[in-house]
Amino acid sequence: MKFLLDILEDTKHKLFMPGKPLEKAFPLFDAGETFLFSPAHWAKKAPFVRDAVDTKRYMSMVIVALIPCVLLGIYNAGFQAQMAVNESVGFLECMIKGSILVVPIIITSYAVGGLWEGLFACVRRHPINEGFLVTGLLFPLTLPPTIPLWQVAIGISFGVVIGKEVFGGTGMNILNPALMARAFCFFTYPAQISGDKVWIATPDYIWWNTSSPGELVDGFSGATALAQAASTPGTENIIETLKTSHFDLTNLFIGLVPGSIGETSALACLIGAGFLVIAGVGNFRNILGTIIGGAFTASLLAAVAPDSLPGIFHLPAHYHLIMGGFMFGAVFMSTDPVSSAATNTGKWVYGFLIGVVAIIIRVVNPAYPEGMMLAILFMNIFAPFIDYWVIKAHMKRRKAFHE
Amino acid sequence: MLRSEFRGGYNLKIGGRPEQNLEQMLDIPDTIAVKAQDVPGLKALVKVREGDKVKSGDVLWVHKPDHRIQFVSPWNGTVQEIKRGKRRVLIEIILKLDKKQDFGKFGTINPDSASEQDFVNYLLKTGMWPFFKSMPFNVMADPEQRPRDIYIVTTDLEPHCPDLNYVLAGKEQKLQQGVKLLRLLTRGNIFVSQCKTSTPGPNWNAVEDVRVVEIQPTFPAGNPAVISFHVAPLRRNECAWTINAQDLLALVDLTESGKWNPARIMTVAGSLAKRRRYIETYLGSSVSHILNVDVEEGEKTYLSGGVFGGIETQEDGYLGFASTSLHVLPTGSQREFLRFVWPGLDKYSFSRTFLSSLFPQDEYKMTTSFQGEDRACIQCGHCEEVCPIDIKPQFLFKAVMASDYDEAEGLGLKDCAECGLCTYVCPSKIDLSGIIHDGLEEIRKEG
Repeated sequence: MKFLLDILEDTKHKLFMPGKPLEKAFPLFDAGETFLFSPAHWAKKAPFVRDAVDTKRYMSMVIVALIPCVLLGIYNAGFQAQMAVNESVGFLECMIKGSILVVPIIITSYAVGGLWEGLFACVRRHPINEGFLVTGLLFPLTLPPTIPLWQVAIGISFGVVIGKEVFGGTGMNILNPALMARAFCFFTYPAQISGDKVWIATPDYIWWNTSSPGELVDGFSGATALAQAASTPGTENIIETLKTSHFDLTNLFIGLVPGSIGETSALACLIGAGFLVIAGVGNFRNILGTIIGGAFTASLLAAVAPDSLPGIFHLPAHYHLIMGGFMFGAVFMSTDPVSSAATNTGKWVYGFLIGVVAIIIRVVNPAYPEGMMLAILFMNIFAPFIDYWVIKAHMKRRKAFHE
Repeated sequence: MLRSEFRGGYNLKIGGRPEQNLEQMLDIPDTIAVKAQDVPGLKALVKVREGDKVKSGDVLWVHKPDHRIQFVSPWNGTVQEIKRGKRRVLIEIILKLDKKQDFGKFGTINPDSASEQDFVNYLLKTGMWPFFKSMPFNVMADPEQRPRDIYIVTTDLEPHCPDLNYVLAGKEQKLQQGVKLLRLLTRGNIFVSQCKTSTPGPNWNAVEDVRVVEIQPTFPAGNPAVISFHVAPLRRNECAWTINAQDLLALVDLTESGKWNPARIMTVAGSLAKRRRYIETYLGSSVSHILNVDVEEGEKTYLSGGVFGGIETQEDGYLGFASTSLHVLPTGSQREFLRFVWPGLDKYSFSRTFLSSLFPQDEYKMTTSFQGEDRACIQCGHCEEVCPIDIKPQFLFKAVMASDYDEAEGLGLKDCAECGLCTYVCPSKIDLSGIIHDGLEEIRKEG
């Protein structure tokens, strides 16, 4: 590796140092160089040794935790598309079709977001932050597989620039940039990210598909489980109704249902959660808090709602937890340490309230079948407020201690 | 018996442990340094010039705000060099030693008959005063103040610093004498700590008038600020003093014989030191004298003191004013290819993000590398997990950076034990303990 290092050093001194032609692009070079080789910085004052973890490693762990979601998301996108036109659902066919659908979205997100990240780094002369590696992957996973790529590009631009960079980059943002990006798409181009038509890549809905429309299987609906539940009358047995649309517990848990790319599989999310918690990167307080909050609210509503209210009121808590983006949000969005409450007590409260708000939006608000994104963004804004009270109580205890 | 138990703290599995076999290196060395650099809160006014002859007991410098605090030379010799750093801050005075040493006639004092003021004057005159530190702020004690409590540091859990159980075992009588002396300074408690390590320590039942605090074997449990916080928290405007047990034993020697005792039991440690061992030698000895070129190949960083509390010295440098440890670590100048991608069986981390957390080794070869780049705080909370005194460092350091000292004090700024663990674990490589230390200096100056 010595020769590679020499080439890098050489290039740096020839092109990127102050006074050289590409000095403005130094952050880009620096990002590439430190990606390949750890920098030679060492301690000149105590403590003289440092922990092996850095933010690169820290953020890479989230990427690793997302792998099951990505793979299952790809498979499911292909699986749903194949099912819709009654074609073979062999593993390979599903993966290939899914890849054709999903990989361009991920690449667009990384490429366009990375461009902004690099531009800001160069102009503001700060190093490129690794947080973007996570944002750039989280965002595509919250999108339907049929989303037009230009919307992906605009969405991630908004998320990176307004969601993060205007605040000063990773660590300074108050809202989750990936969800900011999604919220932008959600409110600006609702037709491509909500409703019953977008979750499955039917021939009508894919930009690259040349085959003629109208080949859909009989009884195709395309609605998500949540939309289905919301439109079921309260007098029907909601579980039975869901079952007839293939939304039984197993399917919902494994995630072979229509929905956003990465969110459908509770199983993949739980694998990711296990990894995050074991690695200590995702805080279990956020995850458990969210799950408890969601389960509590769902159970409460199911217990008190009269039959006149729609079926989603009567949906048992465990269905709520594995339907839609609840698990994905709980595991990967609520655990974002930057936009979450930072105190341990605060994390419980923060998570719990995310769960509560998400279920309330789902159940009580007829306009939005899904509430996770809005709940998390809402609580992002409240996170400093929660911390404020926790810190205040902490300071009071400390003061009493010294008296 | 009191117990100091807490969450947090962290035992570093750093390689380079010293063997517990004592080598005596008590021949008079050619040169020795009296260091000012690592005396916290010192403003030195130098009283000698290069080339001056000094005798044991002569004043080298005084503390500018209070000239009664003197730093004396225990040695007979010549001032070889007065080293200064930025803005002419005194770093150290290097003495070329005579072959004949008598460690002076400082006079004796009897704890049974001496008064408090006698003892204070004695400490100031003999230059033993700077060995007392005052909490909060961990600076030299003020001769005008009296401490509520005194802590004798009898456990040092900093990696590879001398195991004081090993040093103090069997010295109960001298310790008793030391406690009697300290009793002249305070009516409060005299605390000692006891930690069950593999080495048996002194029998504290044989020492009267001390309160023994049982501590857990986790760094920095032996730190008096940590013990104080968990056992006897200080109120507003109160202070407690601390003295290292070895320095106390030297003080006892001085009061009994009238001779300064600059010998201490020290450790030579760190993965690049070849003969890692305990030695008995003099304060301020030179690095080359102690190591005698017994070092491994490679770029080296020399530390006077431990990895958390020490200062850097050089190959041709000297140990600190009261430092009892010399570490030789590999300098972290190596660049690793795709460092953050590998499973990391050999990467040692608090965070469980490397495979080493599933397959831990007994110890790890650590360098001085930051192992990462500076980034903004991402609120991972590792600093809070290791903090031994229930501070939330991720909030405290931000309050200090914003110069919001009311908030910082409320968050526990003055309780900070300055153990350095928060900086150690930070994945964004923020020097939290350095920022917090600056904040402490700021409020100390403002009073």
